[in-house]
Amino acid sequence: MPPLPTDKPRSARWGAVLWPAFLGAALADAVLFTLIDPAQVHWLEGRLHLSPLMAYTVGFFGFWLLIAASSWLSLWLHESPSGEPPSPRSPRN
Amino acid sequence: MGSSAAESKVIELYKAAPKIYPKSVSGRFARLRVFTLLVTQLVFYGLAWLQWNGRQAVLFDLVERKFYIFGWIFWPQDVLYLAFILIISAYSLFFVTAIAGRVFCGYACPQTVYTEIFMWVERWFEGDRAARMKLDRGPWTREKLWRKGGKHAVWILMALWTGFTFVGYFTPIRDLAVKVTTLSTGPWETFWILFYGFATWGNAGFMREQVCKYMCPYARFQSVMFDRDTMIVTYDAARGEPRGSRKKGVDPASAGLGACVDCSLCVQVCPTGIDIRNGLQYECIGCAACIDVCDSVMDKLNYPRGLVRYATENAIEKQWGWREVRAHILRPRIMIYGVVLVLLVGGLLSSLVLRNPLKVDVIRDARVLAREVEGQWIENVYRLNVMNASEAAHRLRVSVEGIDGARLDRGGLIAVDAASNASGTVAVRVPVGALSPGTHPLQLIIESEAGGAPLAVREKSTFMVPR
Repeated sequence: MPPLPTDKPRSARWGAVLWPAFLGAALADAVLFTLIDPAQVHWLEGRLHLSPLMAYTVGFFGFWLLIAASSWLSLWLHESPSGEPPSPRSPRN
Repeated sequence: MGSSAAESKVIELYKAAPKIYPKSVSGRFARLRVFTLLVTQLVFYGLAWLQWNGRQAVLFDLVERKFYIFGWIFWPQDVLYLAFILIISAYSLFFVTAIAGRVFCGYACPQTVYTEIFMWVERWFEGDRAARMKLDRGPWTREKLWRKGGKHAVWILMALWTGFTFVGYFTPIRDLAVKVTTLSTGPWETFWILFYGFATWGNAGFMREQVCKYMCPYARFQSVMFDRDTMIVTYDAARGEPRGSRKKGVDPASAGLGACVDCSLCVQVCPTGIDIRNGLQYECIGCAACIDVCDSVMDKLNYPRGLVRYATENAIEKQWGWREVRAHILRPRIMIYGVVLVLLVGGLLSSLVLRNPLKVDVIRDARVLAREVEGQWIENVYRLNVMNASEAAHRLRVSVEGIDGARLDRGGLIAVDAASNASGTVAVRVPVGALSPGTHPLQLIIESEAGGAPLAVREKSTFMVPR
């Protein structure tokens, strides 16, 4: 379903999704690695080795992806036309 | 539906973002911006190189998990201070915004600052507004190639330097510089330099005002902080209207005109592409470029300056002078913001001053729980993580309190260097039969031995007696 027409350029939509998610990811990454020292963690029970900088980076981009997906979903739900949902009991003519 | 079968219409879902070509401007506020820009960038690019007690003065060492801000050393456990600083920054922004509008946007926001610097480079290679528009319209010639290419080359160099400096706040910058010159930076350092550089290049070179218009939350909630006594960049419509062109020397009153000559320069210089004469708009970043350019036009016409000026809504409406505007600065909103700000700053400073530079985490050793030794003692083992935020090395003596007959069996001394951490293990023993089975509160006291300022920390833990 396409979004509704808007007076904003397409980049505004990308910005609205990516930028708040970027801020959220920075905060989440900071909080997570304040509580957890990546050097002390056995990732995947020791099968995966992550250097601290890699752990911070992977954490940041993981959060960014996750929060951006959530932001995008919110935006998409909000922008989708909210017509009558099709109902099997009352078929349209 | 059947009747309108052939009708169809293309609906554009998005408006195209027109490229904005701000005209360069000179004047009081442009000079002020150059000044604030130099100061903020001197701090950003310079501070990373400053040394303090033989180490980088400001460094958030992510690998060592230690944060240095001049004489202060923080560990991740001190994250509360970071929260404090963020809250103070937010309140400072509210306070300043309520008084003076979006001065942060106009003079200090990195988005504005980097856009401005990038525009200097752009102007140097491609000329001012008209020349840039002509160049963009024209075909790709050798000259266009070198002008565009040169601009991007300088932009990319500046962006990379910015990325390098950014990473230099999280990993020691002098080591990083050596690694960069020998092309031996680690993969993640390289990644972050390139990523931050790319973001700088994209934001300051291309996104520009769109970041302020569509991405910045502050622009949207500014109306919450504004009131009718907030200083904003405004057009004095009562004086300016009706606008219109006129011959030089014509008295506007006799021609039935206001002071605005409708030269549209205020629109041409605007970095967000708005017309300030339409009133306060959320796109306005308070950069005052329109004030500077309008003042220059007023000077040429021998009209008084300030047709576009910093003023409050009340001042424009009631024709107030500076005295009345100043008298309205102190109002309940400002006083509340001010008091909260003073309390927060006071709280942070006193907590920093009174902070015990010694911090100890006591962790009961999970592998070696309580056990009976030599048939006469119950022993519990504790791991101590000591963080020394002072500039002196310490030898720390551990003792135990709270349980009669408890004594330290081994590990009573821990040495910790200046501004670093150390860990040690201590074993506490209690005679068999002295305590009932179960857990009992106990305190571990960690004190510095003679020499230097005495430090002491008392940590609670528990002693466990098995059944």
